[in-house]
Amino acid sequence: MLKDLIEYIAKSLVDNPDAVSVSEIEGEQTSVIELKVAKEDLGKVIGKQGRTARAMRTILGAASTKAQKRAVLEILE
Amino acid sequence: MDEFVEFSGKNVDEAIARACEHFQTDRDQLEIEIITGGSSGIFGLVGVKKARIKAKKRNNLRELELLIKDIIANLIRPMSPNPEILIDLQSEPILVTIKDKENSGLIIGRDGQTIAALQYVANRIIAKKWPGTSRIQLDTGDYRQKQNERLRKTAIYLAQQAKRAGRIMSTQPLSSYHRRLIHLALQNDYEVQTKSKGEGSMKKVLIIPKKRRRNKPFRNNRETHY
Repeated sequence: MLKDLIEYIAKSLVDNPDAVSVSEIEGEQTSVIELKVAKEDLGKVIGKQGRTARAMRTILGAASTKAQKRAVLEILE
Repeated sequence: MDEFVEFSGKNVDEAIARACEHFQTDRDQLEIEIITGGSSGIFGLVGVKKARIKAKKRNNLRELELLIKDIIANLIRPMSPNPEILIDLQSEPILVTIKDKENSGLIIGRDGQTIAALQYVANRIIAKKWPGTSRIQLDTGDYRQKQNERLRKTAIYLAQQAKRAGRIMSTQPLSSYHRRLIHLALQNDYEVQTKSKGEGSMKKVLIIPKKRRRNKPFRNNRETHY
């Protein structure tokens, strides 16, 4: 579910939604959500001074509170 | 959004019919401005003027409403699986209210961080999918109303302090929307002046008393954070 959330946001923001891939690596307490986008879309998911990335992390934080687990977002280059 | 296109005809009706044909749509889907009404002259001989209009396709508001609803529902689904989402398209920015008593605290987040992040991401997505639209403002519970009230009280308190001590007071860093609220709260208080200071997300509002105390024991212009 958390993975779907990040996938939805990323696909809605980029120019190449087909190049978006999200994978979730589940750990015992924390899961890591890895986001990959096309090189030219990297700026779109990071945003000016990282504002978009920060907003995604904040939303992910609230969503994971509800799911009672911790999740961190990694944007892969 | 789409630009106005000019059409002309013997009379206004004919010009509108041409516009409908051009946009492949009905008359009620068009936004029409009449430039000249046209005149058939005397016996259709002297002073014949063509009617000219400008037309563009109306933005389909119902579609925009559904789009906004869909975006918000997708963004908050993990926090609020069954929200009621109300949209006021007439206001500027467009007001979007999430009705979900149980989860509104989670949607707001600490210091309103989550609701601000949701609003920011939603606006980015809308700008991408529906260029030229005005922005949205998110609300849930009575968050905005409470927050406005709190900021107004803070503004008045800081102004009192500034006047009493004859010193410049400063708010914490605030967003543009919140800074505006502070300016508005004090615009009729002639004994103080307000001014924004700082860069990017660290901008705050200074509240400057008109009567500054001289020969202060402390440094001039020292700001006191609240």
